[in-house]
Amino acid sequence: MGIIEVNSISYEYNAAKDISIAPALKDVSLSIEQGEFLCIVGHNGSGKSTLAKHLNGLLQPTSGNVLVKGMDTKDEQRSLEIKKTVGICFQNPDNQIVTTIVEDDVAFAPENLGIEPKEIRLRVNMALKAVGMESYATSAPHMLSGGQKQRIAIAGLLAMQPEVLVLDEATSMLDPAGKAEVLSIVQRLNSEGITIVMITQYMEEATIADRVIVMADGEIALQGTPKQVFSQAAALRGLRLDVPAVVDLRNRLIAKGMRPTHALNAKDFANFIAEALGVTNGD
Amino acid sequence: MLKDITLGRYFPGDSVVHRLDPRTKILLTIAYMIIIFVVDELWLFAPIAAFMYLAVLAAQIPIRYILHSLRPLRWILLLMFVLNIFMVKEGKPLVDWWIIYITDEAILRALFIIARLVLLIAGTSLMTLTTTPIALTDAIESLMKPLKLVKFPVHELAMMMTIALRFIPTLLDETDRIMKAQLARGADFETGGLIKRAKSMIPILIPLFISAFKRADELAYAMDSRCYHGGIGRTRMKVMKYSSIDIYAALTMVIFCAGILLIR
Amino acid sequence: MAIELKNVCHTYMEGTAFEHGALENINLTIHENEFVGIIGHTGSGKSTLATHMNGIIQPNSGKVFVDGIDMSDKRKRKEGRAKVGMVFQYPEHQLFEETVEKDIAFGVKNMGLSEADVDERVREAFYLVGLEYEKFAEKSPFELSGGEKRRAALAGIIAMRPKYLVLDEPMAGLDPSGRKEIMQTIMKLKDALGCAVIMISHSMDDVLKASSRIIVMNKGKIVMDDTPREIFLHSEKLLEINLGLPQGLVLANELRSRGIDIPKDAFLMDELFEILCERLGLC
Repeated sequence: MGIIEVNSISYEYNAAKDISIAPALKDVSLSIEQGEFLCIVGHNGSGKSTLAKHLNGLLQPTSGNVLVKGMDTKDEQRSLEIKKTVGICFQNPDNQIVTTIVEDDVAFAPENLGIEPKEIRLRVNMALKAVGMESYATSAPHMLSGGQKQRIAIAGLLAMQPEVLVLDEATSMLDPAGKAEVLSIVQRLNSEGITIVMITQYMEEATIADRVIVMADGEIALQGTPKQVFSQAAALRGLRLDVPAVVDLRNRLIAKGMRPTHALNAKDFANFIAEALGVTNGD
Repeated sequence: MLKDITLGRYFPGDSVVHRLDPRTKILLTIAYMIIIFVVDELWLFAPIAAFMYLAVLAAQIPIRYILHSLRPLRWILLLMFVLNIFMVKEGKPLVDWWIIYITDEAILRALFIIARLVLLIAGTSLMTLTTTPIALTDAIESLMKPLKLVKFPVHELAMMMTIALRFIPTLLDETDRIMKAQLARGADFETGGLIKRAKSMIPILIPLFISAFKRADELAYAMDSRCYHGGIGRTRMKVMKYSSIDIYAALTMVIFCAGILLIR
Repeated sequence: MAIELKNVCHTYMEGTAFEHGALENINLTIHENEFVGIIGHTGSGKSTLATHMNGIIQPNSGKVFVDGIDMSDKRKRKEGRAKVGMVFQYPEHQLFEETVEKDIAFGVKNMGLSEADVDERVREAFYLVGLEYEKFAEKSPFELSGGEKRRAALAGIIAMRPKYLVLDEPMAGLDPSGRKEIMQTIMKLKDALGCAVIMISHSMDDVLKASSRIIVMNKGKIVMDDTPREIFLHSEKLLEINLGLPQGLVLANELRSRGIDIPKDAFLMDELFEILCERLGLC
């Protein structure tokens, strides 16, 4: 059994109850394995962020259920336990930082969990170190760059010592440098054993995942390894998505009769071409 | 534009005054304000001013920063002074010409009012200059704890203040951005009468409110997913602790107040 | 006729502890009908540069002229500003009217045109950005999807028929098809209105696709100003200031480093497709 089990959930947007307009979900099932790097892609309004908010009980499904380590997210008693296990980093770095000093913000979650002050201090230092922001501990968040703010937001989640980290389009408002910073931190955290669920519109980002799920109109439209998913360029375009430029070139060459390859990035593809041409002095 | 406003009047430093527990600073400031209101003779303000001056020296804050905080109030101070000079009719007349009638008593009273106000403002400025807004918020929460017994939402109030402080720069930035965008669409915020100007604010205010609500919504989700569930069972990383300097500061204040009361 | 910046310097928060230079001695002429891409890091001064072009912010020293109009002249500034359409980042955040039609008309109305002219221009703008007038005119702008909102905001500027259209990150935050649609719209506008386009972007690939001239900013200065081909022939300069390269160039470099002979000036995916087709004997 996976660390998170999503069992045929549906979600209907209720205008009276919700302020945010969360797109609906239709009978979505999925199992997230401990330690995996899962990527969820989909066009604007495909329901991918709504799905993310179900993973720690921020939203409750209209039907079906979500189990986090066996705990039902509808169980009020386990709410804190679930949220502590699954941390969510959101899109806009500005709207998730609560206080005016970086280290106080990172301390926010452990404070809510009623942890001893000394232990909080240890966790804050560790979390800031994990995202490489220890020298900004006493800075004011509004003076930082977008990428730095997002790293603080991740540190704020790491201080809960979560087992799953969900990134809900966490890189979409960042510049290329900020994106790269966040991605490399996420990859490292994954290698240290944290399960990653990354929601994104950038197909290049999805190539580093173990598994890709493509959402469209509230349903899972495609899934598989990046290799499997990106070989279906036409299907992806039909879902308002795209394939990385290198993959597109690769697919066009395959259509012309080139021997098929699963290369997803420039390096692998260049290696493949070198081999096909019999050039040997490559790396 | 708006971005150029530097927020918070905190003057960073590591002086004795900076190191005082923020709760002590609030309590001392209250004691100081009480003593200013108890004093009823002008000459007694001299020792208080001297005490204030020493406190500013101890805080290692340039005196001009304190004076700067008086600037926004300079017209009110002037008005108070003038009003007192003309309203008070008791005492020996110094000037009695046409409709102008000024007595010695009037000048003394006017000076008294001004001295009281200036010292009050100087005292509170010293507190805000040496304490970060967030430390003040924490201190207020801690000092108001007893009010929880009568169901007063102390924690919620403090959390609201914290979030307000956090988002003021963000919303100012946002206002600046929206203003520029509407200016680029030919909006005019500078000409016309009161009503026209009020109307011209609509293109700024509506987007600003929409954005603020959206932010509030997202912040609520973010706080929720970081296990925020109100003040119950919540601990703090930075525990406020009274130290020996707080005791010395309190003792100094007690002695000073007693002294003023004795010579009164 | 052109936008001219002469010795423009700008400093933020002058006289405070947070003082920092945004622009240092910028000299730049943007001609009619050009498509200029501006690239650089966050904080390199590219957005500040753009806001100088219509006199919304004034330089600390130096002058800006729009078709010869001195933008520091308060009385004439309005005339100059009307020639320069500014589309800021996330322009949908400036929507405020009850209906899409009224919002698009806001800028045109401020120009003091007759009602019939306003109506004509608004309808034209609807058409140019690809929003159906009948379907959207009476809708509230807040009911639209992300991509539609962005197009409505763009239409509000288009309706003013600018001679120069400045776009700051016009594709930010959109999904792949949304990005493609906006890019196509911009290209279409350039032809339909005959205006110059100045597009700021983080994405090398987007800038490369459209621009006839690329300006590279770094630390408040213009470090390169040339045709895309010349700029990317000197890609080592871009790497020096830590800017990413377009994906085609990344792939071309990878291929070269493996001893595959790729012409020095080939870096478009289409060019690489042709070259590889030939080498692999596919055509």
